[in-house]
Amino acid sequence: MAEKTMTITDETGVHARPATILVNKAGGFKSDIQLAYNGKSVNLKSIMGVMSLGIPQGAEITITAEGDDADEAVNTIAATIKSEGLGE
Amino acid sequence: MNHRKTAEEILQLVGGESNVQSVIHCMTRLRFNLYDNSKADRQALEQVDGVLGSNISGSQFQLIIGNEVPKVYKEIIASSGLSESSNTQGGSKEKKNVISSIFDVISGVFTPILPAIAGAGMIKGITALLLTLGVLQDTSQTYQILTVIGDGAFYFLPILLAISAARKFGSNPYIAAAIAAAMLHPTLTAMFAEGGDISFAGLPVTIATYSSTVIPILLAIWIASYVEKWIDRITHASLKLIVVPTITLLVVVPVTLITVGPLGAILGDYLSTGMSFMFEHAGIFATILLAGTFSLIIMTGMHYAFTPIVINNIAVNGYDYIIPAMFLANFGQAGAAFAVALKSKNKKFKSLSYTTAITAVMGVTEPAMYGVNMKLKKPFVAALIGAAIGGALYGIADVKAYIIAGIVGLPGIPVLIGPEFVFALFGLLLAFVSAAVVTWILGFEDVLSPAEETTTADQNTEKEAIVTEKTSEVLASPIAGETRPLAEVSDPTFAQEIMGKGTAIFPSVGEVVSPIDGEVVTVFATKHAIGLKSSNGAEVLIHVGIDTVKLNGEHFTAHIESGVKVHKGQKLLSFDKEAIQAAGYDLITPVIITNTAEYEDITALAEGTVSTGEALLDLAVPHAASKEAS
Repeated sequence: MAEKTMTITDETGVHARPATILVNKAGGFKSDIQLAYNGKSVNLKSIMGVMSLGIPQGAEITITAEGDDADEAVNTIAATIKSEGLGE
Repeated sequence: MNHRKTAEEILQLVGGESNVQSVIHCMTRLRFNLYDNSKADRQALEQVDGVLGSNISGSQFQLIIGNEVPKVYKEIIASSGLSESSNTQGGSKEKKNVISSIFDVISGVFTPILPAIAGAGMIKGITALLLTLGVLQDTSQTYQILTVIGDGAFYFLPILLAISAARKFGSNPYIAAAIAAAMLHPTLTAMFAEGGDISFAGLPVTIATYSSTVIPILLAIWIASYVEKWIDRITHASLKLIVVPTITLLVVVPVTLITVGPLGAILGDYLSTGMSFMFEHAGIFATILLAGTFSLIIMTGMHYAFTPIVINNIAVNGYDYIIPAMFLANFGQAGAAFAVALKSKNKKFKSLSYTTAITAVMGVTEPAMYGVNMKLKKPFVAALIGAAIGGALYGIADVKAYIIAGIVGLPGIPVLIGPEFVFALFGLLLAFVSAAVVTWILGFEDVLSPAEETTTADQNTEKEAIVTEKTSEVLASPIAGETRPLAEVSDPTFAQEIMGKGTAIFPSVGEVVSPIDGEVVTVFATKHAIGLKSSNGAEVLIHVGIDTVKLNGEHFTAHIESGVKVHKGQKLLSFDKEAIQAAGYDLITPVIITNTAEYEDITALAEGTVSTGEALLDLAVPHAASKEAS
């Protein structure tokens, strides 16, 4: 299992477009990937799931993955969050 | 993207050509049926230039490519021994026989033009009735102008069909209309009327009637779609505007006149000769056969070949057997459409079916035949059976027509007045009722309507649960406005369907209502977008405007909050249309199915203006048959 906690810096939070980008990345991995915020955890492969968290600027989020490619999945998604300017 | 390179990398990473059972593509995806999905390296595939994502639906392995998918597909076919599947559109579908496919094409082409022919048909029927009742004289100009209003859409039916067929076959609808217009040109009609040998550049042109026909124009536009694409491909971009339509018209019109025309005309001649022979020698079977097949004959336009025989019969014998069979065919269609109207649970389709049944009784069968019965297929068969049953009675009772019928329906019934008139009337009723009863017994796959989802859901739950818990459903429009294809939205996340398939609406009213019965998954803090989940499993994102996240909630009012249950039509959001536009934002509102991958197909149902509650998107789960195939 792999895990990583990050802080969202984008002033509009994780709205529709960034959620889509993350979900598309997550979809490429076999692992079960979850995104947690504010005590709630959702499947990071579901756009509606991610959007349902309503993640705002300043939120602390946790990405967890379980499966063969868990480490790589978490790293890739974390890298995407950074490269998209979503968080750090 | 280098399509060839992308194609080669994909082929290698899905486990090589030997692992590929078949590959097809839809609008955005390559859909592989692999022998072993685990041999495909999804992760590496995602890294391939041009691949936006991957997905496994059922056992189908899908790669999301976006708009470039046809090019990548071509390269895959070109660089491998795989064969191009004819079914490149909607994934694996139920295997259909030829007749069933032809029915689908015809009814698909008719659906968009139904309002025109249903309206004109109503006028035609009423006008004929007014004449029969003596309210109008056939010499009066009011009658003649009413006739023109009612008949216009039918006489020039090929033009309407050409436009609709062109949309279906993917060619230019206006060039198609021009082709049809040429075929109906008065000069050509006059040449045909004059008779004698007609030739075009030395090739023989067969005399045929194209007005009111269906099959000839469908064949013509089908040919045109290939000719147009082929010329388009070989013509330099700067010359396309002038060369493509010119050559298309110059090729397709003569080819149609020389090859398609004779098909109908010559076959029709044989048919009518054969029929006369049968009437002389086979009696009752001839009536059954003719009544039972006349709807098919009308479809091809071959019934025009019968006109001289009818005229001759009445002139020589004083009566005719063919007209009564035509009456039966029409009443069969009316009866079948009537049963559909009674049985259908889709309100809109129900009312359409009633209207078409009435116009058919009045003698205008096209709307019932093409718009209802053929669309559902089994009712069409029932209509033929009903007419054949009526035909048996007509054969036994020797029902005849004594005058040439102007309109083959209720207003035209006086042409049947003779010693057997009682049987004539009873036969029409018999054809109508038999067709209705047979329709009822055979049943049909109803046109899906929102109200019906639950029943369908109940019936299919068990079957569908194997692959997905989703059921097919129809989404109602959440906003009143103008629909636009997603591809026209300026934001590529929507336009390239990265987020999912759907449609876009340019709002005319600043209000969003729920398109489904279900639950609000999320209302964005900025209130510019809302995520819903229907009780049938569809995840719907309604995103008001582009980049409106930056308004930070200003000009938006939410009427519900996350987590609440909502019902279809319930008010969700209001927004100040003018203020948002004044602030410089594009108001185009994508309505996206974010779990698109779980559906076999998502089709936009609305075109042009929609009001809230109107059917907007059709979400189809994989068919039971496609599961076997995949």
